[in-house]
Amino acid sequence: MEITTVIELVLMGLGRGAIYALMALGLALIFGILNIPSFAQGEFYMVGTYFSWVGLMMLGLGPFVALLIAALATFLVGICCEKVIFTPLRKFGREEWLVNVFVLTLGLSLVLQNVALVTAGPLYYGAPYFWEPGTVELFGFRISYDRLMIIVLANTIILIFWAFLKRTKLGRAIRAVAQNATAASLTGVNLSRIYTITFGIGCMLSGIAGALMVAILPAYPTMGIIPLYKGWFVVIVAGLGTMGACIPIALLLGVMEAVGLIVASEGWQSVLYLIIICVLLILKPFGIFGKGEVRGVWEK
Amino acid sequence: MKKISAARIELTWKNVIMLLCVALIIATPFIVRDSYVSHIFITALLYGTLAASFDFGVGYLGIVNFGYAAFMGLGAYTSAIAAISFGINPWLGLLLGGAVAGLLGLATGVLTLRLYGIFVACFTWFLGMALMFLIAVTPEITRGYLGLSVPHFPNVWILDFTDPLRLSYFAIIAILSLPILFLMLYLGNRTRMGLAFRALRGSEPAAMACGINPLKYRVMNFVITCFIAGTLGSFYAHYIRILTPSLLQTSKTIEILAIAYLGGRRSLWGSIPAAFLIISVLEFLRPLEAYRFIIYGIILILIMIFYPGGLARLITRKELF
Repeated sequence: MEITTVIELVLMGLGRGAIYALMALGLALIFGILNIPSFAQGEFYMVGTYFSWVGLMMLGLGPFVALLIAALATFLVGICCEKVIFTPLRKFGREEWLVNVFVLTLGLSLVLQNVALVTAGPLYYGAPYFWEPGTVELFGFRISYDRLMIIVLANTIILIFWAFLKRTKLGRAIRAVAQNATAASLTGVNLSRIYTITFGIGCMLSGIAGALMVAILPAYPTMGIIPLYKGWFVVIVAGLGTMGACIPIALLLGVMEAVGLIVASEGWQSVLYLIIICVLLILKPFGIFGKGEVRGVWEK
Repeated sequence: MKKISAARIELTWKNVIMLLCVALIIATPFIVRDSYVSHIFITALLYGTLAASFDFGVGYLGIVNFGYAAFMGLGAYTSAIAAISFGINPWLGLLLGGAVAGLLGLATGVLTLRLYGIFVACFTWFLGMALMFLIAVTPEITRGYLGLSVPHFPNVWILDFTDPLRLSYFAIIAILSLPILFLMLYLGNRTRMGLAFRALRGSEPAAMACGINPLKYRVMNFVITCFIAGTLGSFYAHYIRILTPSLLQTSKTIEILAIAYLGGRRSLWGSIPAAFLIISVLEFLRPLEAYRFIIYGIILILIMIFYPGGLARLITRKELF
């Protein structure tokens, strides 16, 4: 096999990995701050893809504007969901919060999926390309603008998100709530506002992932399950409560998947996942970087 | 330790009404004699029992088996392939499907049940997804998405499984699900095992101090629920008679889980009325197409926010334990 093929596959893998990283960051953020194991995140990915299609194909706008539309739309949908569903639940009772909330996200995903089915119908909405067509020469091999821009944009967004979390006042407030919600509220952080915004941002990250992939995976109501699966896989392998670790693990997983395509089809790769899980369960049951403090959803 | 009394049924009004309801459920398909009605009753009983056994894991020990449909599908495929390739009698297949699902449950349980909460849910989910993909990529054995056509049960005595009214299937699922439900209620309430479950639920460190090994009881619980899923799965295979990998997908688990939660956590029996309610209402709303799932989702959300006790809490305020 030629070396260029391998490099191309690695680049493809980096693109995939960045998408998984976006999903995983959204999941880890929402679980870390709101204590919600979100299984509706795949649906926000789907919403992002639909709005990206609206921006690109229906309105004929450029990729940046389409991405912005998708990000804003998922952010707003996320905020609405948080205000309508999780805020009342937080008021009505905290006993068995995690169990209730888990089932709630399942209900939410059912609603979002079928709203998409009703409004868009059981059709695939795909764009021929996200960026303009054409290829670029890079170190002696060719890569299409499309793929290159997915990698660049996804990684840029991850960096922006990281900078936001580390450098801005709001980001600091979010991290403070993650550490200790009561102490944060004592120092004047408006908890319910932080919860809402965080949920919105988590949803936006998933929406951006979906928007970037519109040229590769067309929009469809039930498309969210696979990115959700990969996202949770990354979160669990990296370890809950360690958001930074999600990014290298996601990139590694993406590259591994892409290179693995040489030897095995997509379906057989799931067996590989299973092996990873088994090894992990025996050696590091709380994830590679996990500390074992987060007992998670159904703890008492 | 509390003395465990033998199972006995007191003759109170509530029990009489409950028995009448059971009798009504069993009698209706035989009185109405309509294949559509029997189909709904079969599906409702099947999903109700599945949801009840899911509840046996969640309600007693907080084990969320998010790959539950995969264990059911494994039982279904085992029994179907055994019948097709090796000519094994589907009646034996019921046991075989259960046994294979139970064995996988044992392996999974020993590996995962040292962990709790979200970890168990995710690992069982990954396992379920892997099983689904595995079935999809081995078409030479399972025929993948082309669909595996399965023989029906051989006719026995007065049970004729070629009858379009499907009454025999209803009889079988009723015969299967009643003992399963009774067994779970019995195990959970009248045996030392159930006492251990409840002790673990109450406080794990305290239970451990009394000499209860949490891993052992968690694995036992897990294997029982997986065995039930496998058995019911192989019934499903011989009833529906066409299997595709989509039987193992996550949305099936979510259906079962939704029934279990609407029925009421830790009630076990609550799943049966919930299954009848949900499945018949969804059938009734079929002309609305996708809108009915929006309504369903909204109802699920509303109930979880305002009435997390579910259906069982409407009927009785008493906690099961």
